[in-house]
Amino acid sequence: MGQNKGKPQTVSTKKGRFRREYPYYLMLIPGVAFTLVFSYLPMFGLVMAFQDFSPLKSFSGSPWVALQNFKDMLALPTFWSVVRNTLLISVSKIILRLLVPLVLALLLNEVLSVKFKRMAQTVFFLPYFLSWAVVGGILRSLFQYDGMVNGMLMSLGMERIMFLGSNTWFPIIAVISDVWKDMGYNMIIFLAAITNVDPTLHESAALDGANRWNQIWHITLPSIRPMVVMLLVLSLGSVLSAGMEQILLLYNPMVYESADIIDTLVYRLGLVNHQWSLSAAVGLMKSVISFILVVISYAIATKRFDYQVF
Amino acid sequence: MLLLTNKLYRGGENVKKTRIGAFIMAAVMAASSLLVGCTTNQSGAETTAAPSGETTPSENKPQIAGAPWLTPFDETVKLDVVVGWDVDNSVKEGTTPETNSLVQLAKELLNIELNFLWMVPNDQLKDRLALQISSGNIPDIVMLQSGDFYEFMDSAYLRDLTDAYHTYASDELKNTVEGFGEAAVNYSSRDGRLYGIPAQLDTAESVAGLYYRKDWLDAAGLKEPTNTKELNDMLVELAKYGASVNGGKDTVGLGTTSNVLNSNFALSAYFQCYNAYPNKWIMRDGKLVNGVVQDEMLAALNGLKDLYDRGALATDFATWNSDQFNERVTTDQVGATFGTYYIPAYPLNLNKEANHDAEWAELSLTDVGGKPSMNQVSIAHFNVVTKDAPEHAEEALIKLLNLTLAANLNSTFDKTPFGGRELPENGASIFYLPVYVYFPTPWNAYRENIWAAVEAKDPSGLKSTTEKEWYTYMDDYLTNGNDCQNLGVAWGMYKSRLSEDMGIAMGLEARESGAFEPGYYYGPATPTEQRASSTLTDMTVSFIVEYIMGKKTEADWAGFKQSWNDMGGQKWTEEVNAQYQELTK
Repeated sequence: MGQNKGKPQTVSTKKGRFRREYPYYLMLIPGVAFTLVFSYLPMFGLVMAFQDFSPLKSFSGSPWVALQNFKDMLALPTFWSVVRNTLLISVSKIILRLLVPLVLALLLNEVLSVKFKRMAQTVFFLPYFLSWAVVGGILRSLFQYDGMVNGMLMSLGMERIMFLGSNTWFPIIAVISDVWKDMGYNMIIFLAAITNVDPTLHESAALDGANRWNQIWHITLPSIRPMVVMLLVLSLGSVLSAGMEQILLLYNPMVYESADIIDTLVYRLGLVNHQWSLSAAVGLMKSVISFILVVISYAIATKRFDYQVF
Repeated sequence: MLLLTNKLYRGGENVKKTRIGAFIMAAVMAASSLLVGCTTNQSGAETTAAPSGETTPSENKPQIAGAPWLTPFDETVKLDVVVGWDVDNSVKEGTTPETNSLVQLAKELLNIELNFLWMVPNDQLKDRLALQISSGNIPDIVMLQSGDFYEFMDSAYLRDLTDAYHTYASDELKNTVEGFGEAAVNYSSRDGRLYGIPAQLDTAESVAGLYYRKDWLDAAGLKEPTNTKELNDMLVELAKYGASVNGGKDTVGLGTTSNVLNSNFALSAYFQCYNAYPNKWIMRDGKLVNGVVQDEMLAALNGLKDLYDRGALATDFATWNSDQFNERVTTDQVGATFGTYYIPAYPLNLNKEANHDAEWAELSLTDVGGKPSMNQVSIAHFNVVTKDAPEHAEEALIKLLNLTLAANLNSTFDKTPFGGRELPENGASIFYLPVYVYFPTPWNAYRENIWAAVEAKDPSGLKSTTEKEWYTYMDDYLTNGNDCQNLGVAWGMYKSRLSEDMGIAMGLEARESGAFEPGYYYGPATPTEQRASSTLTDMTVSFIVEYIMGKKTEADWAGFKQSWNDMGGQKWTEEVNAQYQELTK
């Protein structure tokens, strides 16, 4: 191999390489086909954002309206509050979904009892497998006005709080419950990354007099930084997805002002009200912004942290 | 996998094996992807889709005397259908839309075969059908809601049913379609041709009243209110009294759910006490106007705010879903609620079952100076045939609808040919079918027949199964009172259907006396409605909720009206008026 360094590959070398590698290409086919059929093909449907689309007239028969749907979108009285709500809820979720599991993983890593550690991992991971329909019911029982949490507050002599009907409390409940439900997933990833940190680094640091905190700060965290950055980059793609299922199950007219997000708006416009084109316009806007955010965050990750996915 | 790849470089034999393995794996993965893709079209049950329009010779052709509409097709008519359904406990356990005995009867008696593309719970039907429509793969016969129906009709996507209807509709079907006046036929036609069979509900069933805890009212020494001020006072007192007898639990005078503009367990009927009609098209000075921007709304909003401030409405009134509402009604935490005729049968009966001493009565909205709203027509859906359906599908639709009516428990049709398979206990359910119409309950006749039978203690003169069933409930409750065998059901059915001062009695009385506000217009969704109605509804609901909670005041009313009109309300109103003129000319 070393002899060929710097020389152009001959046709026979290329052929040989292809012969060696074609089983991998074969294995790629299902994934590529799946992505093409379910991710790329539906993109043609985006043309309806520029049409007055009717399913009965199909794409070819529906009239073109240029940017009218985007003008209508901006004229929606709730549009900007919906964008604001989405960003607020989503950014809070992204930050806490990284921070909380990271802290948990660091704490669990310090636990010496293997039994307790495994049990804790299971307990933290369990809510991840619950559907939002179930969690929604639990949250309602907990946080309704005569629910368990308010019962506790009253028994402590405090005033009751209208958690699910308050524009202040609703986003907080939405973010915390989401983080609680999904924190186990990232925690496991971080734990795996921490396990892979070379133990000799810790040993030599200990010899140099570093305490546990110094070891975490100067060894563990820098070592798992690529993993943290990767999860952050991946999650930034969904910055405009604030958790439709969860919000749909919990929101009500009292909190439209703070709880209506882009996905619930698209759902109401498209599936409830059959405003396909307007719904597609809002969806397209969301995708474009998400794409730009991913590109920017990836560029920053590459430049600042020397992190590359591609 | 890692081992496998390492071996790849170690010799030709291994490479060959690996290639074969990879090829098989790729094939399996591709096949499973395809399978996943295919099965996403199924729900609830796997079905084998036969090509629509295919016909096979009929094997049996039973002829039913006196029912020419039951003549079977010579060749099987196969129809692609979709269905929304929920398990009905009165139907034989394990029955599904596919095993519904009415589907078997349709095959045997009419030679119509239904091919179920998918089946979903009712609450998913609307979304699933919307997706199905957007994919362009539309069932042969289907039930459409108003918006879709007019869009389909305007796009020439529906088959003309006029001839099939006139030739094959049974008298019962004709009565169902035309029995409530010609408005329903007008709304289902274009240029004099019929494109949908409307499934209508009796308009008296849409009248709402206030159901309240009479035992609490009497015990608190209060009288029935005669105006809206007294109504509010009564609701406040009911909340206070209720809390004093239910162990101090959170108690509301007026129970609601988050769907604040609905007729049942919501606030729509409260507005009607003030002659205000949010989300109804009402006639003012010869023109249709939307009640939501009429100034009568303001007095009602102030009334609701007063209720909220005085604790008669729950602090979190707009967060309750129907489960939470039912739970509170059952546990004596609700003093009153608005609803249409059936709510004594559900969920008020849950309270009666849990607390035999609970007594509910109904107050007519006219008693406090209001007028209940009654729809001009009440069309739940349109049954249609789509343009690519097989030959004879129009005739098949009419015959299927005839069958659903003949098999109905209310029907006096001689059911001998059905061999008992029209009965729920033998696996029949009209509501498991992809198309159906409602059998219009002959309320006055039933009530008179059953009252006479109860008085004579002789049910032998009752003809329909429904009459006989209702008789047993009424007789049981009137004879045994709270000690009757199944108190919740007997009390609920009696109070909702047969009582003289509650339930359907109020709707019938309103219709007879003319003391109601007609809700006009059931026409096609106008362009502006399609674009703006969801925004306008959200805006209205938010305004109402915020007004009640004190976040909006009278000073905001003019601004709300202006916004409603600017956001499309004014244009929508103009379009509705133009279309109404067109439909009724």
